[in-house]
Amino acid sequence: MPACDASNFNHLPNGHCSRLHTPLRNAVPVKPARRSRHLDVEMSLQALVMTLGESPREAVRRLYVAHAAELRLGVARLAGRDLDPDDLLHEVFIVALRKPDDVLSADAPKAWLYGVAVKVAASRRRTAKLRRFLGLEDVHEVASAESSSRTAEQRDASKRVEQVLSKLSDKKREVLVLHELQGLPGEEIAAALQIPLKTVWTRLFHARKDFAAELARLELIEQRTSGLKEERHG
Amino acid sequence: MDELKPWSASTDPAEVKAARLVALAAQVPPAPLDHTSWDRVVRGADGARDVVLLPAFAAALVAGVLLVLWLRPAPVSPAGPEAPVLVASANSSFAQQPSGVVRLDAGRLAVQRATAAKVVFITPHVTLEASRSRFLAEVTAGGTTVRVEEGEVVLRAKDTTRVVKAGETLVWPPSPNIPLPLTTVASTTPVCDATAGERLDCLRAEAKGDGLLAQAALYELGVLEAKQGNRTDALAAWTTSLSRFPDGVLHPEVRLALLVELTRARRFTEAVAVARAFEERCAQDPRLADVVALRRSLER
Repeated sequence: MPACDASNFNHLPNGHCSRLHTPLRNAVPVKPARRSRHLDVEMSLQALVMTLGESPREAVRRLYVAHAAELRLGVARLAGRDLDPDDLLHEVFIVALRKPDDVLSADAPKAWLYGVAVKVAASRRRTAKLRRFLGLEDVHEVASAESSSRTAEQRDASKRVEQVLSKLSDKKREVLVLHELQGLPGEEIAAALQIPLKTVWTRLFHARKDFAAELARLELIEQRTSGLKEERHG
Repeated sequence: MDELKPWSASTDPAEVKAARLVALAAQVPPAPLDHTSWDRVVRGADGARDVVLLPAFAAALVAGVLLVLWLRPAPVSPAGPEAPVLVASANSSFAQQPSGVVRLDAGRLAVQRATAAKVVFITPHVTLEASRSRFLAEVTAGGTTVRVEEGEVVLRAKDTTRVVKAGETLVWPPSPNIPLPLTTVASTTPVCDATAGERLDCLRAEAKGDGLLAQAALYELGVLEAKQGNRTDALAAWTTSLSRFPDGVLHPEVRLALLVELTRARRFTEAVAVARAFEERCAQDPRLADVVALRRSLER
């Protein structure tokens, strides 16, 4: 039986999931212009919560169940491997629990969560940088946000991507991670980062260029330091 | 910019390679999540916020503000004009008022550095104003002398304003014009008709005598001393004559000689006294009108 995710709250007696289309009272009006095909799925979450008489905390828990694993990986990619992804994830959902109205009334709760994740990751990166500067860096084991079922090739690719991402600016890194790695559509990235959609595409365009250039530079450095010739494909 | 094409569709080989790498990394599935960790989230949300950080933050903020205020450079006030350098003579009497105005009552005071600051001297006779000037002011009983070496000085008297320029010297009040009849030397009884040096000794000897000859000798002695530039001796001779022979035959001539010489010496107060005495004692003298005119000009 397929599990109902956070956007499909209506568990039907036959075990299937279905969306409700009940006219809603007290629902927070949503700007039609900002709606998109991708956001329709989650836009009436608060309305559903109200209709079902469910507590906001329970609604946030459903979001946690639905998106936590993906968010954990995403926030780990945003913050870097040195920071504990569980701590970052908990911080994101603590914010959601403290602002349930914000997350439940958002056009796209998932985008809202990613927006918080981006801010939390940036804040933690700054703190970690300051701690490193002051010599207060902790050495501790950090759990991986990636599944242990990944292949060796995927693991190596992930490490290399992380290595290159650390050289990008925050803005480009955020857009690249959200779109290319987390698979968020442009509209959701715009909602998460609170920037115009065109800015998303512009940043992504430059982020791709920078990423490719940085990757080529790293490979060149490795070739020079290792003495190996470049592997020629084809 | 519209939605971008997929990265892998790029024509740049480097980008294609990067896109392939990122796509491979994106395929990594997330680690399964222990859903009981939700309880930790709830506990974190329910827990009190770290209130200890609030006073720490406030203290850090205050310390930061104080540090910024402490490190902030003091505003640089525009430098005022440099003060003038005044050099006074040993016997001068002057005082500088809080407003910067210098009151010079006697003696010499020189401004030795031409600065932009305004210099104001007030003397018993005039007010001197200058800036960017070097000059000397000297106050005596007879008046105020201004000698300008650089720039110019504005001199203000009762109803007159004069500008004294570099290289010029001005004495204020100016010496009055002495009427010609008063400067005429009277002819007296010939006494000591000899050469200058011997005549001086002869006149001094004759002056010790008595009678008309002594009166004539004292008058002539004064005239001779005045001609030779010995003003003090000349005045002394005529003063002796008036004290010994106040109503002598030559007392009008002696008074007039004294009046003229005191005027030339810019001893105007004494000259006025002598003129008044002449007017009183020689009311019938034909030169009375000239004496009155000179006195009035001295008193102005």
